[in-house]
Amino acid sequence: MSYVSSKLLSISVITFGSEDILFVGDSKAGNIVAFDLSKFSSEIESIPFNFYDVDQKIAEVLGVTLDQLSIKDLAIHPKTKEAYIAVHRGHGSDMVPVIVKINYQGDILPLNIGEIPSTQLSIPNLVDSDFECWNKVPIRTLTITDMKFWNDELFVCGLSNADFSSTLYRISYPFTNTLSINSIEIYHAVHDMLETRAPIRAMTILNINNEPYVLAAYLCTPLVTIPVAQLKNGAHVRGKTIGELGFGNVPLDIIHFHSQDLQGNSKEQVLITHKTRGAMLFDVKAIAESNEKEGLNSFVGFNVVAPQHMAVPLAGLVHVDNQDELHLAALRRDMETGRLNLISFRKGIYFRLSDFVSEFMLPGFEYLEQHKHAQAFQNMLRKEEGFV
Amino acid sequence: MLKINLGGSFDELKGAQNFVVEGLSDPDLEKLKTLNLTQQEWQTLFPIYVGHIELSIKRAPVAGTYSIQESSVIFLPHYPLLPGQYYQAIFDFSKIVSAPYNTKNIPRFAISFQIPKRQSLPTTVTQVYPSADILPENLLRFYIYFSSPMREGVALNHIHLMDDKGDFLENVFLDTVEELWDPTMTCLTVFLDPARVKTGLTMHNQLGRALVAGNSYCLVIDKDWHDVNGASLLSPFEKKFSISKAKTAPPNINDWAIISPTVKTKLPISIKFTSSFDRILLMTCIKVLKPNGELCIGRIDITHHETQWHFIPKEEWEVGSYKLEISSKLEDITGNNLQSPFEKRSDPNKQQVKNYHLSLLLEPDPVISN
Repeated sequence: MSYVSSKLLSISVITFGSEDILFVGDSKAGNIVAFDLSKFSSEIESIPFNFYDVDQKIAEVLGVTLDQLSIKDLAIHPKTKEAYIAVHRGHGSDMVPVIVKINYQGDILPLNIGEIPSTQLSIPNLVDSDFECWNKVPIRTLTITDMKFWNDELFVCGLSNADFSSTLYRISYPFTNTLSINSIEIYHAVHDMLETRAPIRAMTILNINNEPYVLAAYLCTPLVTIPVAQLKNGAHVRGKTIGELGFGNVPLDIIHFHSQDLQGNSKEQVLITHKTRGAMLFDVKAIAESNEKEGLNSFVGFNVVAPQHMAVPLAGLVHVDNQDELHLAALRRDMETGRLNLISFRKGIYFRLSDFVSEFMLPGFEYLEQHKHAQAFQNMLRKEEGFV
Repeated sequence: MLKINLGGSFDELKGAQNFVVEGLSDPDLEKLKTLNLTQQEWQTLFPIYVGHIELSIKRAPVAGTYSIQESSVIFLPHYPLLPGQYYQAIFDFSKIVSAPYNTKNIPRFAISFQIPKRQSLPTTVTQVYPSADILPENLLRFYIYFSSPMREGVALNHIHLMDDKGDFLENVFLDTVEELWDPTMTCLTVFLDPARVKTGLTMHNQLGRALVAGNSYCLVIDKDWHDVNGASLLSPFEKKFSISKAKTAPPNINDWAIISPTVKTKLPISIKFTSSFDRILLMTCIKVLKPNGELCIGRIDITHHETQWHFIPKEEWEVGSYKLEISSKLEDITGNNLQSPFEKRSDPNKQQVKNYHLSLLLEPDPVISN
């Protein structure tokens, strides 16, 4: 039964590399597994997702009730644009990690993990896991919090269940047995040259003024840039704090993408989503500007500080990923039913027309001359959201 | 007569039960074989659903493989059937085959199964660390130990901090999104929100520290938290404690008292600290090395509210120079480690020390060697 395979004990994070490679961060086994999906993919035209109650449907297909399902992550295949969702099915010793693919027909197709060609790499545990003792159970664990692929390297960050520090690994792919893994301690400045250890919650890698940087959101709220060039094995690296996201913000994801606005101009942007708030949308230019300045070393304040950004009404996005030039795809929690929906958002607009009832929708409404633009983009959104 | 049964091995670990249809007539079986059904057609003929009530709402059938083996039709789900869950199997020949095979003698057949629930004892909270009753204002984390694995993803809904007036405090614990469990899923790490603990951060300035020196609090774990079998905790758990001033000075090895054992015994090496250390790091950050440099095998005991560490060797101590290898990652309960305090002035020139070493010269015991 190769759908249940010893290749994976758990799934914390999934992310695509280049050329059909799906990386899976397995915190329980302490492994990164790379699955080669090239046999299963062909480039197709992407269409916006409108699949409601997708968590319910995944549970049904996997043969369990909803309370037995934990959704772990979402990744959109960069070539086929299909949605890959990682879940834990069952609890405790019954738990089985599963990856399902959702195609544009809405079919939920579990991956036969045992049969997919794969390679794997063990992440050296934060501690001496070969420490022999009568009680041999390793009690320290590393929980992988994010992974991103950049330039033939996989960047992995994680949080220990014991020591409070950040570990960032740079792993070259294809995996080699030699140490291309780098363990780096990250510090960030608080104020008056005080620094502190902190764990990274989410990150992306992007070029700022032609230099690659890790842009990281920390668990205790700072937004930090770290030049990739400084990330060498064993290095003590200081990140530059360019923002402090403050009270009540639990950052969930950071994604970096290109988008086209309605005039056809191309923009490079970063989106940071939060657990209970709307999201922050940055132009990479604004991040670059903040990065030029002094970091928030001498800041002691009461306010949220961040590079210039737009607050976009994307709340409840449990997981988000870039879909294509025009769309983001997300698993969004429906506030009323509690279900998860797999839906797309049009870049530049960042809301769904079908979330609202406005006067345009009511019977008897007539579009006047001044509504021409609104009518055009509403018709577009209607079509994209499956209402024609 | 048509029958649908659960079949296959009941292997507890990964074995899947399958669903078996028996009692089909030979002509029916032949017909099925010649039809060469697609996956979708099989799912129309012989779908399995989660649940036991036939709902009018469209449900997706359980994923698996279908086969005809001898005189049976078998559905093998991709994933094991779970204890306590209900499944419904439907066999409806009329969906695939028309008359003369689809006669009123072959009814639409639907049957429900429940996989037996697992018998288990109720789960309890067995211990919380740090175990002391007086904790510093800048305490960083708690470890909560359970007698058996708990459901993940809901921890912060069930862990509360109460002040001495009985009010629950808000925004005390850090939401790490992914919960931090040990591999057995019975030890959970919960951080007090470092944004409130650390100085200089917005949250600290707005809200201050959650724990205030001089006050008393109670850590409450409510019983509505289900274990992996879906049962509530046996009872709620409470840990009452009071708060002393913040401890900001980093731990210093020179402050430790080391007690050497006697050779030819298995008495422990003991270290007495001046304050409580992190329990998990105490179990993993200090090693004993033999005079030849090899790792010494033994058992570790932590006592006196995590202020004492003891190492009991598997084999007797020999004469020679043993070493204690202490990782600089060892933290006290406020997060200060041997490398640096939790918050420190930056010093790019400071050398990063990975391990500290303390030598223990064990000399022949005049009493024993004679």
